[in-house]
Amino acid sequence: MEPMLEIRDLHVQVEGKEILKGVNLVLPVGQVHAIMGPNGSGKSTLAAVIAGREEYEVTRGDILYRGKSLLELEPEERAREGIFLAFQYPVEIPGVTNMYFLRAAVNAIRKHRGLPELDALDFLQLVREKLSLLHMDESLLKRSINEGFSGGEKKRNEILQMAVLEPCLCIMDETDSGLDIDALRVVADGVNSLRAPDRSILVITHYQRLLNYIIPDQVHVLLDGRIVRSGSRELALELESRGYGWLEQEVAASKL
Amino acid sequence: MQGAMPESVETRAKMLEQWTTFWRNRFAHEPRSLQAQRREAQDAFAQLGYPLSKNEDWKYTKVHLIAETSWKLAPLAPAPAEPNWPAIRVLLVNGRFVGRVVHSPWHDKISIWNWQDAFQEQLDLLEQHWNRMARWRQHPFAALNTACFQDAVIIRVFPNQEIEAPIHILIHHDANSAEPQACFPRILVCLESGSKATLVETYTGGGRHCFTCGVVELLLERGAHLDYYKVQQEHEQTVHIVQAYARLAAEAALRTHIVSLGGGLVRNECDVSLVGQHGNCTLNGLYLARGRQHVDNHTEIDHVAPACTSYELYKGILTDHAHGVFHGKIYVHPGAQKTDAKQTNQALLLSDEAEVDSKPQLEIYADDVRCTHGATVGQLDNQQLFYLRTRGISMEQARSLLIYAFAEDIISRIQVDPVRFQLEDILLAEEGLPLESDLRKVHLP
Ligand SMILES: Nc1ncnc2c1ncn2[C@@H]1O[C@H](COP(=O)(O)OP(=O)(O)OP(=O)(O)O)[C@@H](O)[C@H]1O
Ligand SMILES: [Mg+2]
Repeated sequence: MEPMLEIRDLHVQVEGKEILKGVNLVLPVGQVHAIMGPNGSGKSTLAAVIAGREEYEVTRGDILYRGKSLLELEPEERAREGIFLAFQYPVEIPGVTNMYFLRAAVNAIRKHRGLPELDALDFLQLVREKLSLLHMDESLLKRSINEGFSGGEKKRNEILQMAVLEPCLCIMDETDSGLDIDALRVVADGVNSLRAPDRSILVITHYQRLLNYIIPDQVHVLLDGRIVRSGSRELALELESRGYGWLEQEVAASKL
Repeated sequence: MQGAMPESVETRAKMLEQWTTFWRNRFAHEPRSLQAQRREAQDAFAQLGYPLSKNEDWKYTKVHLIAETSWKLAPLAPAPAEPNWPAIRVLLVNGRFVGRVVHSPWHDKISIWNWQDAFQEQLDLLEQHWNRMARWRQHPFAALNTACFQDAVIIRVFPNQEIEAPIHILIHHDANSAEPQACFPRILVCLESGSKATLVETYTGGGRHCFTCGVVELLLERGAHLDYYKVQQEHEQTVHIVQAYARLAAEAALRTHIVSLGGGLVRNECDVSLVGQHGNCTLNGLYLARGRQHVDNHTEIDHVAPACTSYELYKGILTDHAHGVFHGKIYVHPGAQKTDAKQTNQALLLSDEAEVDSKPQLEIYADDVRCTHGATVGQLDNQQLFYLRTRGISMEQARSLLIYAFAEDIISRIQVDPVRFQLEDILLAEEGLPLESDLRKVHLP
C-alpha cells in the first residue's frame, strides 16, 4: 500500500535562507510517527510546508500524499483532501466565532467529499460529542477563534477541530507544550481515540512524556534541516536523557 | 476630484439667491424667538458660504458639487414600510414628522413632539435647549439646516426614567422628483437627570441628486445614559451631511455607534462636549465604502470638565476607488485635569485604488491628562488567512470572513439585537458568507 506521506529530498527556503536541507521521511498508513529536534531545527517549517504555507519555497524535492504530489495544491485543497495541521501557535481571529468557523470548515470539507452540508442542529450534535471527548466547555463555541483563550485552551481547540474535521493525516506541532499534566492526558486520549487503520499521525514534540500516551511507531530526529536518525520509541527516551549534543557530534563526525 | 477651488463671487451669489427665495415668508407661523434664530442662521450661512477653499475641516472632503447644484426642498412623501422589531418609532420622511407616535406604556416617562406641537406646547423647553448645542454659527451645514428645516423630532425623557424599548427614528429620504432635492432632518433629545434611553436613527432612501442635510442634538443631563445608534443605508449616490452634537453634564454617559453603509458623499460629524465631571463618552464608528463612495467621519471631543473619559474607535473597509477620511479632534481645556482620552482609527484597504486620510488633532491645555491616538491602515493578515485555509476554507471565503471579522469588532458592540442582527446579515450577504440566522437560534449556555 502507498504510504500516507512520503517526503523526498525536501529543500525549503524562507527569505533566501535554506531551512530544510534534504528531508526524507515515509509515514505509512495507520502509523504514528514522532519528530523531535532542537529549537530552530525546522520542525514547524516542515509541518507548515506540508500544510501549504506559501512563504516557504520548496527549491528541491517533493511531498507525496497518498502517492500524489502536494506541491501544486492550495492549503484549502490539501485540507479538503484530508490533511490537518494542529498549529504550534494557533492564530487568534477576533470577530469570527469558533462555532461559525467550525461549521464553515466542516461544510467546506463535506462539500468536497460530496456530502450534504450540516444544518445548525446536526452540526451542534457533532461538535458536542467532540467537546465532551476533550472535556471542553460549550461556551468556547460562542467566543471568537482562540481570542483570549489560555495556552491550553488553544491547544485543545486545535484538537477539537481535528476531531470534528476527521482528517486522514494529522500533523500536531508541539500540541503538548503549554498543557498541564491533566490536560495532556485529556488531549492524548482525544488523539488516541482518533487513531484508526486509515489515519496517520505525525507528532512533533520536545518531550518524551507525550509519547508515553501517544505511542509512536517510529521516532525521527530533525537536526539542522535534515532527518539524522530514525528509530523506535526508545530513541525518544535516549534523547530525553542525553540531549541532542551526542547526535550532533555523530553527524559532524560522519561528514568527515 | 478637483483641487481646492477658490470660491467665486458668482457661486456665492447663486447660492444665496437660491436659498433666500426659499426662506422668504416661510416660517411666519413660528414664535418670534425661534424665527429670530432662523434669521440668524440664514445670516450665518450667507457669511460662511459653503466650505469650499482652505478650510482645514474640509480639506479631504470637497463639496463643490453641492455648491453647484440648485436644490429644491424635497416634497412631502408617503411613509415607507416600518420594520417589525419592537420600538417606540417615529418617522421623519423628507424632513417631516409623519403620523403619530404610539408608545402608550411609556407615556409617563417620555414625550415626543413634532416641531409645531413642540413650539405650541413646550416653548420653554425649546427656548432653553433648542439649537444650543449645534455649532451653526461656525458650521455652514448646521446653519443651513437651522435656516431650512421643515419639521423636527423633539424627545424628552423625564428624570430618573429608563426607557427599555429603543426609540427608533426612521429617517427616510423619498426621491420622487427628477430635480435635485434636499431634506433637513432635525432632532433634539433631552435626557433629563438620571434617565436612560437607547436611540436608533436609520437613514434610508435617497438617490441621485438627493441631499440629506441633518442636525441632531443630544442633551444628557446629570447622570443620564444614552446609547445612540446611527445606521446610514441611503442610496449610494446620496449626499449625506449630518452633524450630531452632544453635551454631557456630570456623570453622564454617551455611547455612539455610527455605521455608514450607503451614500455617495458622506460626512458624519460627532461633536461631544464634556461639561461636567466624570462624564464619559464612547464613540464607535464603522464604514464600508466601495465604488466611488466618499465617507468622512469627523469627531470633536471637548474636554471642558475634569475627570472625564472619551474613547473613540472608528473602523473602515474600503474597496474599489472608495475614499475614507477620519478627522478626530480632541480638545482638552485648561481646567480639564485627569482627562482620559483615547482615539483609534483603523482602515482596511482592499484595493490599490482605495484611499484613506487620517488626521488626529489633539490640543491639550492641561498637564495631568492621558491622551493617546493611533491610526493603522492595513490589509488582511496572512497568518489568519493561512489558518482558515488549512481548515478547508477557500481563499475567497477566508478573505470574506476576515473582512467580516474586522467589522464585527464594531457591530458586536451594538446592543439592540435586531439592529445588530440586521447589520451582521447585511455584511455576511455582502461578503457572500452563509447567514448566521440558524446558528443564532441554537441556544448555548
Ligand atoms: N518566516 C520566517 N522568516 C525567517 N526565518 C524563519 C521564518 N520561519 C522560520 N524561520 C527560521 O527557520 C528556522 C526553523 O524554524 P522552525 O520554526 O521551523 O523551527 P522549529 O524546529 O519548529 O523550532 P521550535 O522547536 O523552537 O518550535 C529558525 O531559524 C527560524 O528562525
Ligand atoms: Mg516549532
